[in-house]
Amino acid sequence: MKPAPARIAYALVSVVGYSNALRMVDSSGRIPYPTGIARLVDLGWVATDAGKFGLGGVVVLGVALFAFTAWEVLGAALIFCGIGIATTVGASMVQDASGFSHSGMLSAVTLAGYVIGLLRDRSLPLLERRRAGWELATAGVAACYTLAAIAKLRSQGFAWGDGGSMSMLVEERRYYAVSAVSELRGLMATHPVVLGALGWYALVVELLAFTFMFPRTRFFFLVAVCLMHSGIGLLMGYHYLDWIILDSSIFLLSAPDATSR
Amino acid sequence: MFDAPFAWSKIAFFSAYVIATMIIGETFPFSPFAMYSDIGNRREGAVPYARIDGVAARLSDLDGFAGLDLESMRPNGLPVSLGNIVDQDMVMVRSGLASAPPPGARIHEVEYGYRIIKLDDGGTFTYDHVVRTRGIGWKFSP
Repeated sequence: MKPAPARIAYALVSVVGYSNALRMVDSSGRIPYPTGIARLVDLGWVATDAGKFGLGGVVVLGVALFAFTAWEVLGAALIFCGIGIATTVGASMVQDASGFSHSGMLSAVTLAGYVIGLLRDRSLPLLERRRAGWELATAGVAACYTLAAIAKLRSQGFAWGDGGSMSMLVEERRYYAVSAVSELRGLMATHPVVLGALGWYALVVELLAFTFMFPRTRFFFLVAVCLMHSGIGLLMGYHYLDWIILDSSIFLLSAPDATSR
Repeated sequence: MFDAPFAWSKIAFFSAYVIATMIIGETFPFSPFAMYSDIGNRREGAVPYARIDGVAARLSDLDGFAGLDLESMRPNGLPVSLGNIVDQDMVMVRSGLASAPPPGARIHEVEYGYRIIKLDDGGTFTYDHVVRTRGIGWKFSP
């Protein structure tokens, strides 16, 4: 079965997540997405940078198996383990580690859901089994965002929408942006009411993440969460393009009328 | 909404992951994704900065360093929320530290510190700065 482009995109993004987890562990920072994707064709990267823990090649192999072959369960396992090792074992081995890295976590959770769904009923045709897998992956997406909302509520209750706290965060981040974005952040930092409203928007979107599990509401949540990530990237410099790609890919792959998954 | 395919399987997976994470905490593959939840009531912040020859710049503009004290670069009590930037700067300096610049290299004065930002009750920001360490830096190629 010819792989859907969204399936290939989903698999490739997990590599960037793995590499970012690796670089967060040793504090060398996140890599730009174009660089991360360009590195996929650079075998030297596999042998050196991402190969620090001898896993780079394993993850790339996992991506190839998952995206292009019927050995998708093995591929998913290789990706999952690669991200897991870079995230956890690596943190205990490297000096001045930044600690637990969340890069690649959404890939790992949705991969787990996909495999569980895929193996749920092996009597079904492959396309239907994969649909089951992607449907369960939507539950992984919903769970991750819901947990983020719960964390906010547990930390500060409904004071999360306090614009003053957001003002300091945005002001601090204006020094790490191009001039136009820096000016926008500086302007927004002096409007705590607007920032508070945006904070509430993010909290509400995350609390409604469960709607991603159901086909009728999936598109609306996708749009809302993409807007949320875009706003976070613009105002705070936290770019979760990989999460946007993962959410969008899963949306396309779980579509009822998809002819390729 | 609940007549969707695999509805109960999805609800079960969703519930299991959320509940397991709340019990287990931050252990792969479980995470409460609490990275930005603890904003708190912050009225003071500190942002790391670097100056090269007195001009605001990035340490990545240079390849080698001498004389900078790595431990002084740490926040050490300052209200820094950009710890990842400090980590990256320290990695950069540590990897480029040398006892002396290479022959013929153009030397630049390097200063590293923190910009202190305070927010008053009226919503106005005030600024100060603290210098943590000074040294020299250079590029390997012009």
